[in-house]
Amino acid sequence: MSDIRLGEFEETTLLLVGILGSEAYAFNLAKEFQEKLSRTVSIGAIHSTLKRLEKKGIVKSEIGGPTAKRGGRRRRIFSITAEGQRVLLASRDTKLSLWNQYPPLSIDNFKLSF
Amino acid sequence: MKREQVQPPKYARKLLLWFLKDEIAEEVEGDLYEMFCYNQEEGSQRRATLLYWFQVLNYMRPFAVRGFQTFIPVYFNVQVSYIKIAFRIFSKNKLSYLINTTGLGLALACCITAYLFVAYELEFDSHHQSPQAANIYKIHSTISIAENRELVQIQAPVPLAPELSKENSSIVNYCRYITEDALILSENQQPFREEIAYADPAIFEMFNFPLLTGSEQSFPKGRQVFLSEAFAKTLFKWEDPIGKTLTLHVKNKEVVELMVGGVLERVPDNNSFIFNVLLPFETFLNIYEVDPDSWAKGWKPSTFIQLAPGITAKSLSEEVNSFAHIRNNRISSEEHTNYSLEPFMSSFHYDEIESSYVHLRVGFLPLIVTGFMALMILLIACFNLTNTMIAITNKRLKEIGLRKSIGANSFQIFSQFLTESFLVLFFSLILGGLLSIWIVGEFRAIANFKFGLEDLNNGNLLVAMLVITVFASVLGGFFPALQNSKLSPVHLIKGSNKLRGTNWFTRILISTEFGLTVIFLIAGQVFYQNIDFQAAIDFGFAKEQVFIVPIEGEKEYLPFKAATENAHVIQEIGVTVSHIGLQQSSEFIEIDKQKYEVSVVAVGENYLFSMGFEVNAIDPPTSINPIDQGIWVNEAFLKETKLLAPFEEKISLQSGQYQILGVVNDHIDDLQEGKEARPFIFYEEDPTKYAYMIFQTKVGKLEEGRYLAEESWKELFPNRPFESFLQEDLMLE
Repeated sequence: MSDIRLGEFEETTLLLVGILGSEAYAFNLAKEFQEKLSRTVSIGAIHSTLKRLEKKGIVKSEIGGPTAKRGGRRRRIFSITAEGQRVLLASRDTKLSLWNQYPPLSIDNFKLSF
Repeated sequence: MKREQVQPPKYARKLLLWFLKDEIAEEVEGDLYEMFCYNQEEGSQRRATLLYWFQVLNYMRPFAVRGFQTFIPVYFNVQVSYIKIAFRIFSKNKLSYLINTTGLGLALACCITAYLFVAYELEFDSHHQSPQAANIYKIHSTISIAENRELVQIQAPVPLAPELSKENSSIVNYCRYITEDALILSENQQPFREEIAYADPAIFEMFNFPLLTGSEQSFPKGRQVFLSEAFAKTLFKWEDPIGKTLTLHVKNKEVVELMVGGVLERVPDNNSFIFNVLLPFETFLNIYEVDPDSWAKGWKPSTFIQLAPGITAKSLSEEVNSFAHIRNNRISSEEHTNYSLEPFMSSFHYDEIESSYVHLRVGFLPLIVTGFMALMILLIACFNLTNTMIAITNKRLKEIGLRKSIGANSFQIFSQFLTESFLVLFFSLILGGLLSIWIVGEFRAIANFKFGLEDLNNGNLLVAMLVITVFASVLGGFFPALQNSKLSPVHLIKGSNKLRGTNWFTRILISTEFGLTVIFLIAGQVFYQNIDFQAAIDFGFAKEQVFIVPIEGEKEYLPFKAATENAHVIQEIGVTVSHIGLQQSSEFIEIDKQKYEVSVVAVGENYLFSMGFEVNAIDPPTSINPIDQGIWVNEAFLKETKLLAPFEEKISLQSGQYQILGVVNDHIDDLQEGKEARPFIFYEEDPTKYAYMIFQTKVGKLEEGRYLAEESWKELFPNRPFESFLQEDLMLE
């Protein structure tokens, strides 16, 4: 199991990076936070979190091509590394295990299966 | 329709590019540009611009700001080396820096003392600050007594608030508050003279009085009394006071048995309500047999009302003022009175308000005087530090030269010496903090100022001390630091550049320091001599020979007089209802259509002789009752009213019409009002209301007289504690 612990914001950011795939850059992530989670987050906060995750080896980044809607400027696309996948899986498994131990909201009660 | 594309705000972009690291500039700028365009399409141009600015400012984070991550460690290391050098210099010049640190410590302790006044003023009633405090108002009575002359009281008639509350649903609560001095006896008959407050139960809802023990619900019930934490500890030490009994002795009224219903947590002294004992307002109405619906003059408690949220005082002011007409119609010969609502947190001082049962702010004069004195002391200490640092620098010229020659710039040399100055002030602040505990204690005792260090808001105090410390360190260290930073390294190393022992700046510093010190020495001498001067003032009566004993009516006066009148040290005995310097009221009399404000003292048998007044009468008094069916006035009264034939004049007071029977010499009743005598009238009052006995002893026999009086009292009234006070103490309070 990975020793890296993720905060709530870091985990959400990481999941959105995974969801967005090749479109995972700072502004798009901020937009997803607003649209999917109704949560206003500054681009600077997301950028700072991604830099921190990159330093921990959970994400990697590469410079993408310039686009007109960015005034001809390039963007930095983030993606999850293998270590990042392991960290996400570990976090999911831990949480699921705890949820299952809470009877009223246990997944077994809803007869769901993954 | 697609909006015309507008570029992001130019200055926001410039700011971003100025602080942002180069390696991330392009991607960040691109993200923000894309966001700006998106917001423009989705919302308005203005919103897009505001959001762009917000995002730019939000990028001021350590990971994004250029130079940030290297700046902090380097800066920190440099400061540590400055501090090490500073300690080295201090250890080589121990005596000089010790003197400076001590002097600055004393100066800072004086600044903390001065800050007490500032904090008292600025934080007044902050204890009661709450969202609902904005809806609480006090009722002011403005009384027109003459043309262009008005008196303001924070008082209102007893029925005003209840009647207002019944007629207007926007008043959600009201509280009347009145105080008096009374005698409290503990369970074991130990006497305490305390400030008693009476208040409506809403005092707990409207203001912040947390309970240590007991319940607010028990407050309105019967004869429940709530004590302050300090007084409860005095009475009951560590026992639980709830349910214990106390006895209240109110002058000329029956003794009241009370039961302790609660203990209040300590509140800071800078608040409107200061008391050790709190009783329900209804208890006050019962003790003094006050008709709660009566508008009669006499009892006017300080009154507060709480309005519903959203209701302003302006909308209520007309209604409040209409009660003035009711009052004026019910009371004959009453001055015209207007009522107004003032916010509870509004600032009023003792010199603006004629009377109030709530405490008021100190006023600006003590603030200015103490602040000025503290600043002067601080300046003396700072100038001394400057001179010391200049003198010590002379020994460090080669060090400065060496540092400059290996690359230190002027700013770095400047920073080093300023750091040394900050360090001196830091240690002075610690010393000053410790000294302030002693200095503040002494100051409070002299000024009878109960507000102390424990009442201060720690956050405000910290900020204030930081500001003073930074100011003092810059003041003390700036010039030496600046001078050293400008020196030429070549000349310094060669040794050809020597600081002169004195220059125009150091001479000005030393002269100013010396001048301020001389001013303080003279001021101290004047202050000391003023004490002797005040003691030697002729007050117009025998103040060094008089002591006063509170009594309850003629029933105590007669036997006590009989028991003491033959004592060899007692020359005269008198009795009175009100007394000079203790209780005297003001009235407005009219003579020849002209109004005059006079002080009125209700007296009894032999009062004037016992006080040592000189009398001038139509008929020399043949009995010991000089006041009979008439009044006595003083010389200032005649001067003020310009009466040509005073003994033929009849004067109208509220209690009736009186002839002037005699004139007494002028006297001073209140030194704070000045040394000029004020117009006085003395008239005889009902003996059942006698409240004080006046004893005039032979010269130098005051204490002996008090002792004899006390012995007689203990025999006559074993269950009533003996109290007495000196007329001299009363005059100098």
